[in-house]
Amino acid sequence: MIPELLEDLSKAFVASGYDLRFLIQTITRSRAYQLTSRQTHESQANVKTFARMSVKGMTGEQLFDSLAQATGFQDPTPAQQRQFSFGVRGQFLTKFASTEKLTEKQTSILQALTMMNGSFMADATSTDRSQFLAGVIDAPFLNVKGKLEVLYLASISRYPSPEELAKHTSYIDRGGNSGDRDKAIGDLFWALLNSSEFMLNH
Amino acid sequence: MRSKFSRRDLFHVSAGLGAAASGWLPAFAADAARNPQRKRSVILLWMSGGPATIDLFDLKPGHANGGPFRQIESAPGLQIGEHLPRLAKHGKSLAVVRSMSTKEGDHGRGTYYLRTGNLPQGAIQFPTIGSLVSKEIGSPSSELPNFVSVSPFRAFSQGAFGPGFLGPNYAPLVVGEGNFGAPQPGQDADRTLRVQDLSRPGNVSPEQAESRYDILKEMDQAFIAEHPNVVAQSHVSAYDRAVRLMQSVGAKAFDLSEEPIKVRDAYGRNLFGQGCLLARRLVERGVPFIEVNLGGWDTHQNNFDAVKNLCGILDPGWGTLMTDLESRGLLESTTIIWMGEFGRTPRINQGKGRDHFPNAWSAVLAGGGIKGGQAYGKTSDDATKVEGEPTSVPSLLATLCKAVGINHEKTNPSNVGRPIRIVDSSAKVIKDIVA
Repeated sequence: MIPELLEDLSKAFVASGYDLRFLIQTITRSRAYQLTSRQTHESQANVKTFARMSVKGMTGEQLFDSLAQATGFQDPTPAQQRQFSFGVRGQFLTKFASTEKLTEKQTSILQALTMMNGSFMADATSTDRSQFLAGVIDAPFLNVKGKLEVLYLASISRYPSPEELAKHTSYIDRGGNSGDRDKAIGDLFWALLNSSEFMLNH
Repeated sequence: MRSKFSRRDLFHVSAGLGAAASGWLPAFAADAARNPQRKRSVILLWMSGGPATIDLFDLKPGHANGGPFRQIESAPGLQIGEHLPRLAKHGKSLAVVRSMSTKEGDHGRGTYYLRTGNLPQGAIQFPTIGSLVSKEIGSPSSELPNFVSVSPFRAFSQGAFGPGFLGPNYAPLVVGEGNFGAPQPGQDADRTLRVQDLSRPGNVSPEQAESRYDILKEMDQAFIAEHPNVVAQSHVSAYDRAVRLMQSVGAKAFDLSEEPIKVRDAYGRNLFGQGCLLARRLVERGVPFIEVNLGGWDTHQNNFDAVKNLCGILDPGWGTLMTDLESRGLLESTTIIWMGEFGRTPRINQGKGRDHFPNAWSAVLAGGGIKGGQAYGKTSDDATKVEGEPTSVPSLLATLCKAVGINHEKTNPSNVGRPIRIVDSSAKVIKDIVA
């Protein structure tokens, strides 16, 4: 924190008549707030200099809700029970609850295992159990490029780069390692959901 | 997208994986004791809540503070509490340190102090002792994790259970979560102590698993190249270690159903007892640091009933562990440390309880590298003071390091930019109890 900046900000906040909207707008419009998390120069390596945004972990709740949104998951647990540790979300949260600072969040082996092998992810990336994935695979109006774009947008909210597109298209065309094009599309979705880019706030 | 596949699908694949992997993996099940290259192991028995060591390892019969328990002889000149009969048989391997003394009577601070060797200090994230030790004696390429934590109860001090500035590579694999209180008999220890989601889903072939993991690795490498960061590194490291664990034949260690019923009964059918059995199975497979938690020691009320009840859990677990390690030739290379965050008041309160007491209490070292059959240090007749020189926490941990063959003055780089010793330089190794 820079003391002079804090001082200026306080004065402006007082002058605005303690307008919270003004304060939030000022902070979020600042260059510091809008910095990218991408490192473009070695000098940005030290997090203390605030030369770029720190990559953060997500809380268990944020992660599950992101997964639910990306996979089109609809919780079969009755709404009034969801606040307790019942249901798919509650089960998931028992493994991802954490009190660490999000900027220092560590992933555990058990969390990695749950994300790779757990039943929620197995369902979400299975070509015959995920309605979303089945929809993408069967959509007659989407070519391979279109299908890849949908998966990228659903999970990491961006289009694949030309290199990614070329690599993954060839992976799908040869049916991955199983010779099965549908499964290969499932593989890509699995990798996207397990990726740092999806699981971390950047 | 309701799940249609069965639990059976989830679990049966691990056998196939093990068989496929056995061609290139060394035989973990080989008799570890015969290997001259064998490194040492440490088992920490962590007594969450602060055990009444005055009723366990430093009794004061005849004094008003002494309580109702009698002593039994464990080794010539070493008396311990009557409710630890199985452990008592191993007196020749036990060194009871009766001169522990700290100033920390708060669960959180005491837990942090005993488990990291340091008091909480500003921004420094001190690593827990399991991370420090396993970094020194573990192998970075081992398939099984170098540090396994069994049913920890972390609420007193989260930071005291993690790798701190050593980073995610030295974090423990945690199985089961402990409670504030004592484990109940017949708890479903089998399921709790298993590593969950260790096997691939049944509809995913090994080849498919490998190829999609390759895609993931490429994506992560690209991301981390542009976003170098400790959180992203931790993500990559956890996946890497998880995959190694999945491929490990040694992961069978977590399947306690492989053990004969008689053995399982001897350890006690509760989370602590079965945790001790798991610790033995992990030591057999070369895991360098395992900790097993036993909670319920915060006996402000009815101390004597509670301690007796807890001894019924502690004694079979620890006693059988000693017997088993010894008969397998593993006790010489396995050092056991038993401790909590502090002792309890010699004065018995109105509720027949004992309160927090850090001034004078006991910890125990046993097994490999330890000269057993003795009590080191002494408390006054009323147990309120250490007579002679008190033993500090750094000294206790440095003694553990010495027994295991670690130079405790070695430094690690820290998160505050200066190197920090494994154990603080104020530590004095207790030479009398190191073999």
